[in-house]
Amino acid sequence: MRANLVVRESPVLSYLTHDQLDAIHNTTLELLATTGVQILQEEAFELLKAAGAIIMPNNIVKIPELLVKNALQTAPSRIVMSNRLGKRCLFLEPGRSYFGTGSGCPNTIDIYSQKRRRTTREDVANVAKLCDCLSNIDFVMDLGLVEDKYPDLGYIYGFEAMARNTAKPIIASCANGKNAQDIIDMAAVIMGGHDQLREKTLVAIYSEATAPLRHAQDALEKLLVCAKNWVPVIHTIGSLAGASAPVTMAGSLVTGNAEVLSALVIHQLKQPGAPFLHGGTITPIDMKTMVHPYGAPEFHVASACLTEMGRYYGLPVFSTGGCTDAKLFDEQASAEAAYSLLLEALAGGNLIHDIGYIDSGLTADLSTICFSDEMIALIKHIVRPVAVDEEQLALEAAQRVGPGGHFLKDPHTYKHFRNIFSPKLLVRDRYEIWEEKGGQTLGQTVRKKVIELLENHQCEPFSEQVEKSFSDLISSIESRFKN
Amino acid sequence: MTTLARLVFEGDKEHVASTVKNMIESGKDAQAIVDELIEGMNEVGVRFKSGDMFVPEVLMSADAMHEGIDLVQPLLAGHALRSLGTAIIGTVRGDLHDIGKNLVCMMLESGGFKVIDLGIDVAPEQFVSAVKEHKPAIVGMSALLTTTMMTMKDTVDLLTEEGLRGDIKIVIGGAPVSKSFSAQIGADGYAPDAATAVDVCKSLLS
Repeated sequence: MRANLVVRESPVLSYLTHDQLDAIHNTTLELLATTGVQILQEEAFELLKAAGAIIMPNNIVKIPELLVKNALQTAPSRIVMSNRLGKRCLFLEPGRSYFGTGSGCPNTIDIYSQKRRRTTREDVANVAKLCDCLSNIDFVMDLGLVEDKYPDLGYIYGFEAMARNTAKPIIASCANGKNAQDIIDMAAVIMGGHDQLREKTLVAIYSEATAPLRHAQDALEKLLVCAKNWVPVIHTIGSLAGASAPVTMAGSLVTGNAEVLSALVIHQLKQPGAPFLHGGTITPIDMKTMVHPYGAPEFHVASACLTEMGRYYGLPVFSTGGCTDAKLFDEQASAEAAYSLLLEALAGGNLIHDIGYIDSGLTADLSTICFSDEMIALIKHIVRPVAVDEEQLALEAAQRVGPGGHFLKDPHTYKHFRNIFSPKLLVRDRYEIWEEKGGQTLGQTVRKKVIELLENHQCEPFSEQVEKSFSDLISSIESRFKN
Repeated sequence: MTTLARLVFEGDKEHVASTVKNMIESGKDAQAIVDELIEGMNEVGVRFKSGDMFVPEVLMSADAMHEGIDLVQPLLAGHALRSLGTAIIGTVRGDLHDIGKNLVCMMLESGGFKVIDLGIDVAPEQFVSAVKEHKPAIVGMSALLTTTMMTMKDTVDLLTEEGLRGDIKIVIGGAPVSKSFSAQIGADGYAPDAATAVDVCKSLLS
């Protein structure tokens, strides 16, 4: 028996106290009430107007506290997503982190030639396939932009490539509301209907505010379609501190927060209780190159702060890690991918996305995904409890082995040794053995692994019935454009 | 550098204004004053290219230079300020993103161009009427979204249809855009960032 014992189940990372979060919240409310946001879609605008927001010229809407309060009240505090087989597997609750790729890279590093080229439909299929067999990747985004004469169809084909090549949950990008609805309909076909999709949520939709303080027509359309369909929406912050947001961290969190909360207000007015995620990307614009840096420490600190804000509001959070400004999977890429994943895992963001994003998000790289998978396995051995109970304290074992003995044969070691991290790709061999095996760099090892996985893995196909309905649906979507 | 050039280089708006006023009062030649202001800005350009100066500093210097130019402008009435040409710039239809475009406008102005900023969400028809009205040397288009960059081709095509293509140079930019995309749609140039945009425009006109 033991009384009043308090334990810690994970390391704790925190940048902001509750009072500091209050200050960010109150400043956001002040900004929303006095400056407002620009709303460039009719239905969203009308919803705000009817709810009592203050309408200014030029589609500017000032949002009073009451609307924000109501929205935070009705928005769900947890979201559960399912895989294609109907298994509920992503539990988006405070501190529970899941990892996935990014979206929309126009370029790809060809895994065979290692040359950079334009992304193809097959690349999206390969990303999904690779993620399907990496056990530490939990969800998939396309990591590639499928170019098509009709941009909307590019997203349809991108979703198709992902759905066919992985059973894992998908976060889909799309062009506008109609495109979002088409993708949701495709997901519904896979899951056996819209009601089934609502219970076993295979897909979430990605959208974005336009900093500073604006919401474009296509983004608001997506927001409303998601609300209507009860499909989770990620209406992210995408801002450049020093350019489209204040250069200081707290300031950029305020404007980003204003963008997210104003979107939430619209979203909850459309459908109270529909699932919504906080979060997004804030990074300081590089003042020499004007690039949007994915390796900037401020980016990942901002993500950690947004994670704390999500927790403060009781909303799941979209976070970022496993990305880099490096132009291929090199030393910089591994450094930036590794530290960003570690920081966000410590912060506890729910959906940690952008794994495989290199070249500041303009190029997709499969090696970086494979490396990140190994890193996440390692990180899971960092973001864990140091349990201090009788078994873990191992007093009996120490007494048994005594001075000068060894623990290798001890039953306590036998019982627990598998809990130690054992790398699959990182090298630990003695030098001579490593040399004998070919003296490979990590880059070479990773690349070989990717090729091996791609050439040997087959994802579980659709059932015959789903295949027919799915293909028919795509044909009917195509005919709308091609006629 | 002359005193005035140094003040521009340091981004000292206040002292640029007072110095220019003194120079005007003491009868200094207007064009000579302008040349000193530009000298300061040229040094800024050199330092920025070599990575010793940052964009906010460049913009501060540009502001200081313009403060000086505005004071001298009335004295040059009748003589147009030497300009490398007019550039019409806009973010294409359906796209609101404008930070990069705004930076290009500022850099082109500092670099000696006359800039007309059409803003955001600019349809091909609007580009065409602006070209007819202002007769520019350069038309610059910016897009951040992969869905909107396709309208760049629509603008190129419409300008060609209207018989305006031959008189202008078209330059494009924006994160998803590339050199090969620019060739694909029949543009004349591509720039990966605002500073390069100025160089590209200058070399296209030389």
